[in-house]
Amino acid sequence: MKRRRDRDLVRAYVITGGRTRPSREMGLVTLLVARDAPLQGLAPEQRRVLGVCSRHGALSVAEIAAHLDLPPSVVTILAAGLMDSGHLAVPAPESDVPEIDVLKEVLRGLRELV
Amino acid sequence: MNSETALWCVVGALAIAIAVAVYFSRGVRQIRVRVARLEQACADRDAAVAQLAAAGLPAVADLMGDSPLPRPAVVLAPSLQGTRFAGNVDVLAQRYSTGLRELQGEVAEVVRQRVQEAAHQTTESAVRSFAETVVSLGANLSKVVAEAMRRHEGDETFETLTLIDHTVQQMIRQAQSYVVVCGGLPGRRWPAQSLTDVVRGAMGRIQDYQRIRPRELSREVVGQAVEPAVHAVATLLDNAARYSPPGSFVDVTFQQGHHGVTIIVDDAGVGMNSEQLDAARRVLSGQETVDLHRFGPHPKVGFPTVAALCKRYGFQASVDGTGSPFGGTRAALFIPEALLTADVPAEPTTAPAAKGGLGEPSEPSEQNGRHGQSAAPVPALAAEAKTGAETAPEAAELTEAGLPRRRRHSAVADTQPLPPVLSSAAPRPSVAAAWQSGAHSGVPSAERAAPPSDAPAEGTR
Repeated sequence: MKRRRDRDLVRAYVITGGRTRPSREMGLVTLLVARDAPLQGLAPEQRRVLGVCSRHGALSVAEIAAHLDLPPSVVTILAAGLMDSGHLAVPAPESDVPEIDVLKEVLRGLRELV
Repeated sequence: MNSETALWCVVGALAIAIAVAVYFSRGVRQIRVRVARLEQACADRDAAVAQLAAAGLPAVADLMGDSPLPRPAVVLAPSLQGTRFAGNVDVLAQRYSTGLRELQGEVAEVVRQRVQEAAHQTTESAVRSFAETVVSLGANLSKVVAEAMRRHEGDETFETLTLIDHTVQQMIRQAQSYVVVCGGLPGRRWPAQSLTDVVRGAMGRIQDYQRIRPRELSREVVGQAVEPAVHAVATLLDNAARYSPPGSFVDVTFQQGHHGVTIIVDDAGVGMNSEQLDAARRVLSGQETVDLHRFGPHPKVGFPTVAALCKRYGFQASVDGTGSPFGGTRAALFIPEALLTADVPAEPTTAPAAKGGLGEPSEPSEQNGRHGQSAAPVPALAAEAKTGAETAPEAAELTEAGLPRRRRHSAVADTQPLPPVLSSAAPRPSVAAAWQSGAHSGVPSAERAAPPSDAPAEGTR
């Protein structure tokens, strides 16, 4: 289906549902991955954010904004909402994280060096 | 004897001759008198007619302005008083007077209409040109604001720009209503848009857009009907939101029919009484034309605007006092098949209402619970991704004037492969995490480095 969107017709505040600030602290480089959650009840742009995330794997807020041709602030607000609802998550490495004891040991070594 | 007889004969003949002579001479005298009298009468009539023509009738024309029905002064000689001539002259004069009065009335009416028409046109074109200027400036401003939202970051900037944008959109809608009511066209042009975006575009133009709960429909409205449809829907939404309690929702649903799609707006307001409904229907059906001069100090241009758009583009608008499931008013805008694009999208036609445009983060469990039975989210996600990806190839379109239409470059990037770092098919958590942690630790450390008073304190410990 050919889809032509005009970025000026639907205004940013309608897309964000009137929100002007993200519900949580997020930067432009915050990485996000899509979670497997029901799409129903989401606005079109929220589904587009999830769509682009699930297609490309982990994406930063700035990249999502570029892909969807949306203002970064809008994507930040949308992504924060989607994180709140469990549709998006910050990717957490599981296997690569070193043991806490190792980290403590490294910290101690560094202090000794200083 | 003979002579005597002859004498008697002569005497007799003489007597007869005298008698005849006397008789005729008397007749002649009588005729003379009669002729003289008739000549007099004729002269009197001439004089009377001449007086009427020379003085009586012109005087009536002069007196027209002063008295409602002036009688022309008819001066008659005493001999003509009470004659049929006198009666006829009187009737004639009266006819003249009433005829003149009627003609004067007709002329005055025609002149009044012409003047009114001219004044109407002058007012209309003045209001229209003013409103068109506001719309065009507003459209420029909203482009600038949209661009600024992309360029400038920061929550406060976004908040301010949003406020400006929302105000500008409402300003444009108001001005555009006057353009339409004054016989103009909605000036802004868009490519074909889905009904979802038509309704959401309309939401952006009203004050209480957060109370609108739109459903979705991917059928598309053809380009030239987008702006009028958006404007008409915005007007209906504004009415619905304006005349319903602040806490209530206004639902927008779609009804797909054989001949087109109907956009239905239901509010929970007090509703309209039967007179208001009748008046609204008369305006919406176009039976009652709007007069710019009768708008008064608080003009209501909403329904007249919708009516004008319906007339011009072939929509049909209606209001129903009992149709709303919330007890308020139901307004509907029917968009005929001719104004919808031919290709019916394959994706499911309706999606459930998005709560207030965004999933409420405060109640995710409620949402998940409510839609927990949803079968397969992943295919839907892929479909959505696909629709986004297919924007790039776009045939060169021509405007009505035959000029190439400017192509938008929205979402073109969707088709491009990602930069190498993230182009791997599956997300690589290690890379992602490394970037994430670097980004997180980098920003605070940079911030810490900025104020010199803090930096040594950290370092010494």
